[in-house]
Amino acid sequence: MTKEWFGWAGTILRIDLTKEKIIKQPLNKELAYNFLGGRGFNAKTLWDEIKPGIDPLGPENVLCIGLGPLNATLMPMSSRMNVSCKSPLTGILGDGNAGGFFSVELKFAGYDQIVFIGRAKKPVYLWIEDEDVEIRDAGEIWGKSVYEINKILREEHGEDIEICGIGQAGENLVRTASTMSGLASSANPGSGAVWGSKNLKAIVVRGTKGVKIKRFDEFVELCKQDYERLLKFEDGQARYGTVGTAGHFRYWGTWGLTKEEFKKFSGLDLLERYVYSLKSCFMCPLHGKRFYRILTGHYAGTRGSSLEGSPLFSPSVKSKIFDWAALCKANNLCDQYGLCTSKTYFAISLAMQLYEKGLITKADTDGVPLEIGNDKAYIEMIHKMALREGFGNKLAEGAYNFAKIIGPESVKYAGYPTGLSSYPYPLWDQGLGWMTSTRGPDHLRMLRSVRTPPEVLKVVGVAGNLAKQTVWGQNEYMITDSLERCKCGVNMWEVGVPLADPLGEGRVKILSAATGWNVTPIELMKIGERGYNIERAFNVREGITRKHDCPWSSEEHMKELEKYYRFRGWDLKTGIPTRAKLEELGLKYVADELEANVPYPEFRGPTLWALNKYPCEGTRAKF
Amino acid sequence: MMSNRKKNWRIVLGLGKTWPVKDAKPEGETIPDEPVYAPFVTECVMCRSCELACAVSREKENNPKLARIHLKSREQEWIEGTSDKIVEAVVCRQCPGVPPCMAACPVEAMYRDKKTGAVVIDDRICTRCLKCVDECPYGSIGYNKSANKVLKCDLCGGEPKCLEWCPVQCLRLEKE
Repeated sequence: MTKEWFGWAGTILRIDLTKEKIIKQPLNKELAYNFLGGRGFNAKTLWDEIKPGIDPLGPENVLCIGLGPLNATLMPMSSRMNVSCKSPLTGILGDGNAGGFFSVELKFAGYDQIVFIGRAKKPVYLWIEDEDVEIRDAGEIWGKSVYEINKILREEHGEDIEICGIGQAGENLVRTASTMSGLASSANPGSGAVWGSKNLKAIVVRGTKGVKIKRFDEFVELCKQDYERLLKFEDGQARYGTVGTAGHFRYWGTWGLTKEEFKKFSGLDLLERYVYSLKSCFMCPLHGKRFYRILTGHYAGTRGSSLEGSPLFSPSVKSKIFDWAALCKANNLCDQYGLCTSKTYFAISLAMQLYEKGLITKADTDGVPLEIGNDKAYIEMIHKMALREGFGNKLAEGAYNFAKIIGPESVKYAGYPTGLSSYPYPLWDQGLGWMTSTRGPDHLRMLRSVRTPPEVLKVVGVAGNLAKQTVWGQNEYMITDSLERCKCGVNMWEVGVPLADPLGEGRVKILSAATGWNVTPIELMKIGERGYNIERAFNVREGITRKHDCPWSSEEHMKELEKYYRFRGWDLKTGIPTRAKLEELGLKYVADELEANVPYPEFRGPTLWALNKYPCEGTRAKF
Repeated sequence: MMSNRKKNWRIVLGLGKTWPVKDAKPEGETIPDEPVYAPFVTECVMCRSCELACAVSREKENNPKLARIHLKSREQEWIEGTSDKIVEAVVCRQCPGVPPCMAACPVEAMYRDKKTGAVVIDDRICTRCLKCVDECPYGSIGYNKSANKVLKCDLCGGEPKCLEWCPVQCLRLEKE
């Protein structure tokens, strides 16, 4: 007899695009209780199904969309989904987390995860209406922007559907393309190109089934508590959005903005002039996104629906573009083409930097003057990247890969070898977390202790110990991502953890009321650790070792890193998870495989194609 | 004294709470010549909390398809410039007099709540003929097949649950 599931939907959908086969598998208890959901499910799937060293843009890559047990429930901010694959941008584990409404609708249709394998012969999209799942011809929507496909598909299927798909950038295998949920919620890094490589344009879903909750009244009561707690955070996130929190600007100030620049660029200024209204994902009291419109000037007429803070680091701090109108326009174009703003901006800002240093000239950039501060050139580059036109074809490989094409001198400016982070490195206490992040350096991969109350760190027993804090923070986020709760408020501990109980009691209560599964906080932390270790093991198979965690020779970093490895139970010399640790976490099969094959060939980034082999089609965005 | 019959309470989606102007600058920093800003009035953020809250409190189901209030996104139209509204709420307006739904009901399963004046369906009498669903000019009466229930806002007896969950307080109960 199959188990009746609460919280979880209970079905995993597997789509073989090559054979056009649709398989529905009942959710396995082992998987659910060992990996929880979302990011955990995906990490396990990628480990099981991807062979090391494959071309991320080949049919062997696996694309999974994972949901968690608390997705689409009354728990606030339960709107996230994880999109995972081997990243064509970084060449290691690629997983992105998107909000919006698609994930919610998918859960209501009754699925915990969708796994795509193979490659369709011609462009297709997937239609899901509860039990009905169909692979359909996407001839009509291929070549269209994200805004256009949303319009066309809604006209065809009705208004009560949710859409997740890619724009022209994904079709053209741009390595910074992302998966777009709705009009503007995106999951990087580079997953859009994997959709494109599989000839998969969109998923359209209508779900009517809801989520079954085990102890209903108790669950509602706990959610209400959490919701009321979150309303108190209005001042930061809800008011100024991720773009405008005062904290952001304080840090940006220290990153070399002058007072004048700082003045031009305040959250209030944006709120006053360009923000039309606030935008939220499902069940979110903090609504970090913004509807913006530009009424006057060069970019007049631009309207869009999502403006987020962290991507703006590249254009503003690095490329000195402070005009909100230009930034809104750039954001809007990225949404339409289905590009990840952060990674796209990083590539363009790097090109600007190289242009300034004289490493590339006007002859390279098709005559576009890529001077620092030139917003029109910046925007022209977005068009060029998405459609892989001329110089854009090189940029479309992503910052680090682009630098490799230009030459070894340029690589010095391109940051971290996986090409993920545009920020200066390392940052505050976060440095260690970035070095050891399983998807490349990233601010959403660990809790930042500066924004965690000191008493929490004390209760947990990690205060004053950077390595311990990092391990704890990373495991915490693994759990949050697996529950598919938003880490909104950028790394604020109080926001990311349901009911904000340092030892996770509250979180366990909420989970148990929803699912009927009596898990302990310690078991839950183990799940976080397990997920993180299997992700690390995936990267080890791709050739990541200690050398890549700390690519520079800094005594201080090495020391911290060693401490970190010790707490993790990873080998001090190589950074590979030890057998003892893996067996403790019930990952013997991982230990066996690693032991049999170590050492793996050294990590050299993703397989890059010859530039003339990429598709470069589509027309420029209209709005 | 005003008769109860003339009461016309209803749920309206309008402007939400206002944020007064507040300094966004970090502590200890001063920025000279700061421009003057107006307070910011919030509107519906389309989080759909109201839908889920409705279904949860009334149907004991975590499924917004069973809600009596629905938000219609006009996001795409707004971006294209063909709509001024980003979101519309589809919820019963509790029309005064004898509304079309009530007039269409062949078994007189609809009545006015004495306290709120809301049009309420008596599930025990309702035959699920769905005439009211067809007759409502605003499309605010729904029917759920799996629950076999006609879904119409009845103002929760004067204390609508959706209001409790609106984070920007743009949903309100208008009392006339």
